[in-house]
Amino acid sequence: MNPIPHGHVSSDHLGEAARHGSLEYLREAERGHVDGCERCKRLYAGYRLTDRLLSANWRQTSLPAAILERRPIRVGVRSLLGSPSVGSGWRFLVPVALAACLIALVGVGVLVPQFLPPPVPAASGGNTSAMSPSPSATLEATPDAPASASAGATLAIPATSDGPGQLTGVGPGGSSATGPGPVASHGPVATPVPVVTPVPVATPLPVATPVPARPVKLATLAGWPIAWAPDGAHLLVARGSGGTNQRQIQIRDSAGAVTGSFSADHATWVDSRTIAAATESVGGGGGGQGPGGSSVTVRLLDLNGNVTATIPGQYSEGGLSSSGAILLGSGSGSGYLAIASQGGWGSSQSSFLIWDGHGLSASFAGMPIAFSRDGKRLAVLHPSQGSGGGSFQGWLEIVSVPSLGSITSLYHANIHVASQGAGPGYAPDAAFSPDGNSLLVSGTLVDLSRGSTTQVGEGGWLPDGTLLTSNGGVVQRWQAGHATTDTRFGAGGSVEVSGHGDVVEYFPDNRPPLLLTARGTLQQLNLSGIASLDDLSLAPDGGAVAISGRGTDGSRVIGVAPLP
Amino acid sequence: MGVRDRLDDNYSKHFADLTALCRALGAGDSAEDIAQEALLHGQEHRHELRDEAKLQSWLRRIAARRTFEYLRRQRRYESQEPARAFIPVDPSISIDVSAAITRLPERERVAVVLVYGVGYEQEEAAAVMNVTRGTVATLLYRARKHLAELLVGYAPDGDVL
Repeated sequence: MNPIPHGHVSSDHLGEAARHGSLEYLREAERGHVDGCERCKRLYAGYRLTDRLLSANWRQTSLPAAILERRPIRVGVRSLLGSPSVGSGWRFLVPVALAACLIALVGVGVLVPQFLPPPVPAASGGNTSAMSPSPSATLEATPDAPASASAGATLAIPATSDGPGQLTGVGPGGSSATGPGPVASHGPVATPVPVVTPVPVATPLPVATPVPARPVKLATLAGWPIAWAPDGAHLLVARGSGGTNQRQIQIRDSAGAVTGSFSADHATWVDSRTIAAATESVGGGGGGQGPGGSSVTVRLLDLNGNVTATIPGQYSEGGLSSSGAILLGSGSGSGYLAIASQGGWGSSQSSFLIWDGHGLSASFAGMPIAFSRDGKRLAVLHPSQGSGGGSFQGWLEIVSVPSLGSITSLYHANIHVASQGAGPGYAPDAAFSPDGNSLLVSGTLVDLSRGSTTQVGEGGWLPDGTLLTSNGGVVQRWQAGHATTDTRFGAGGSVEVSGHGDVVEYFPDNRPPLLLTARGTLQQLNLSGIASLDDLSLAPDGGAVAISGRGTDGSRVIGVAPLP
Repeated sequence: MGVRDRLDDNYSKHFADLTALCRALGAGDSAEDIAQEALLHGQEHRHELRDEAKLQSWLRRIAARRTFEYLRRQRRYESQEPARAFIPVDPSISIDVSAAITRLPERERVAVVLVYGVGYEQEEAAAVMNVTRGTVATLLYRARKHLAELLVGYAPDGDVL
């Protein structure tokens, strides 16, 4: 006789079976019932998933807004359409109601514009009106739309002689959405504009004419610049191919004079006076060898290239030769150093250790991509499949240094970060904001508090927390989610920002670079003997630039020059 | 060695332990501040501790209580702080599945976070929650059951049986 003629297998029994991972733990009659009962099957699967979930690694994670609903989205929809507690009539009515809403929305979209006055053509046309330099528009709240920063608040930019007003929706994060439309005072008050990706507001800075500067003497470098010292006083320059034929790495001052040199495969700055250098050796036995039979020794050197200490241990790194990724210095007074540990760099097996000046931490999974300015936070990328070749993607975690305790995880955001690939330096394109609450990663602004990401273009942080980027052919200043076009700069260039607030914009054509100093003076950079630039790196103190470009005779030039 | 000495000698260890606890309970960026306050409170009220062997669990209880007070204040003032949660993270599991932890009743969630998330023994979790070990076991049992019901339908088709 079947002991469960009408009911289901008890939740406790299913839970116990799931704990053991097999229905064999159920009585025969119960197993027979589960075979044909979708509800019991799904509850058993729920237990299995629960146990898998509870045994995973736990981290502090920023959750997307949609997840914060009290009910999971999928379950919510499912419960409306398919829950046993909802009658079949409701199952029919819900899609009908949704369709009716859709039709009503379409109808409103078609009919409402007929009752609105015709839109005045935008002065600069199309979407670019939002970035046009013409109106000295200020955001004013209409009586119907108080100037609140709450979601969906409607703000109006009044019409000017140069163009129409615009409706701007301001989101909870300060994001805005603008678009051409009727002036609020002309007709009915429009519904709030949905919050979308922030776009520039029409409050450009005044146009300034750069002053041509006297020529800057360039010191040529017979090698590739790797990294500026945190204080900008020195630059590492690499020569040679690396690997078994070790590179020579020169230490040069900002005028290009050599102060020291050493041999290593990889190097970075631990602080302004200490260099970390990794040397790969093949064979030699011992347990610290990577898959290729190589091991790595990490040493600390002074500004003359003299070894001052050897970090204990040997670090095997299978992907060392191909990725060039092994060391990341904090670049601050804290003097922390992240060292790649066992595992293929850029893969899900990546791991690293932290040297705090005295000892090494335990190994931590992931790839370090940026220290905060005070060196107390570290952004770690957990690479997913598809990473490699100097470009990595995965989810982001922020950890404290040196304890490596997880502060927050952006598990839901897939972050792409570009890095210098093969070469003697590991330079991920990532930088914390001065307050440590945001991260700019290869053109994506990551708000670490909210867990949101915004495409803003590549650039850098000014000391006051303003983000300056080159985005869509213009230079923009980002503050609190709003972007302002900075018309002092030219179109189509790339910007480099120093930690002191100096900005250099350089162009792929033959236009001279522009330097906007922290004091606010704008001038053209006259680099003697240079016709065009391919790359430019600004010293952290703004006192010098390292460049790669073409000379007036067409030859390739790599050099360094102090800035006026 | 008195409580004060034991607190001073192991300050870093206690601070890290309490910070991890506060963060797991939802204190977010305030975790370090709350841990610091808990240690200061422990210093000032060390005479209230009768059994010095229970120093750690006593400090944890103080930190947990302060975290719960902090979270209550946050809710009262409808803080605009971003939502962050201490949840299991597995790249092969969808984030909304992981977030099911946040939908558990509060006491069940705390028990799950302490035992599965922070790695406490049931006795340690019981000390933090100021309940018996049996209560923690019951809360964990109920939490697992609730989670299984919440996650019905989330398992991949091939994973049903």
